[in-house]
Amino acid sequence: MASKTAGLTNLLTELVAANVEFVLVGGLAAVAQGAPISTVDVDIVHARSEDNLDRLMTLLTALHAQYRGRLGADPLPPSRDALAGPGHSLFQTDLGPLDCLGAIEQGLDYAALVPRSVGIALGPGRVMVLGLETLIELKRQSSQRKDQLMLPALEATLARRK
Amino acid sequence: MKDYTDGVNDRDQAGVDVTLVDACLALTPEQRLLQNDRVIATIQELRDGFEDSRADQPAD
Repeated sequence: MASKTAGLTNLLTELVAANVEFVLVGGLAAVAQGAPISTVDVDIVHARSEDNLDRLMTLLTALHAQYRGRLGADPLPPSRDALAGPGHSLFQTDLGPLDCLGAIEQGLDYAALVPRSVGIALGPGRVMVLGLETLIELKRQSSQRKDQLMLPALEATLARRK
Repeated sequence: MKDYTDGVNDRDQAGVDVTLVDACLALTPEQRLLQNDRVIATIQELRDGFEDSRADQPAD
């Protein structure tokens, strides 16, 4: 796995190949739908079923995932218990940064986000991506400055797409 | 006739360059993701170059 070329697209491809159930959210979801922005990490909301946690943990181990706050001399491997909850686990992997989110704003989890998502083709597979309308809705409700800064680009993308 | 020479007419009210939006929308989702990878790789190269140039400078 370490021989794979680092890159967020390859990281997504590996998630798909490992049959991990997830919805792509955050900046990369906006990129995939045409927003003229760039981002350095992959944000996913993963299904928290036992089977899916098994698949996710297997992939994270293969990608030598470690919590980003604990790199270097005191690395911390992924915690299945943490991934089973609604919290956010922020990893560095061989292929790039990966944020595994149990739930996002308003407690939205995988099951709640799937109906608001669109499927996009990625190689031989398919990735569920949170729809641009919902991304904008969540950014509008966010009090974080970084989300407010991204809004105009997302709104322009939605307007030009229609 | 539209004036393409000053860039002003290519921006929406919030200042977003809609020509970039249209260029991104013209790509497939996978092409957009790969484009983001290339942008990140370029940013990393620039950062590495900046760090190298600082390392080459004599200490004060």
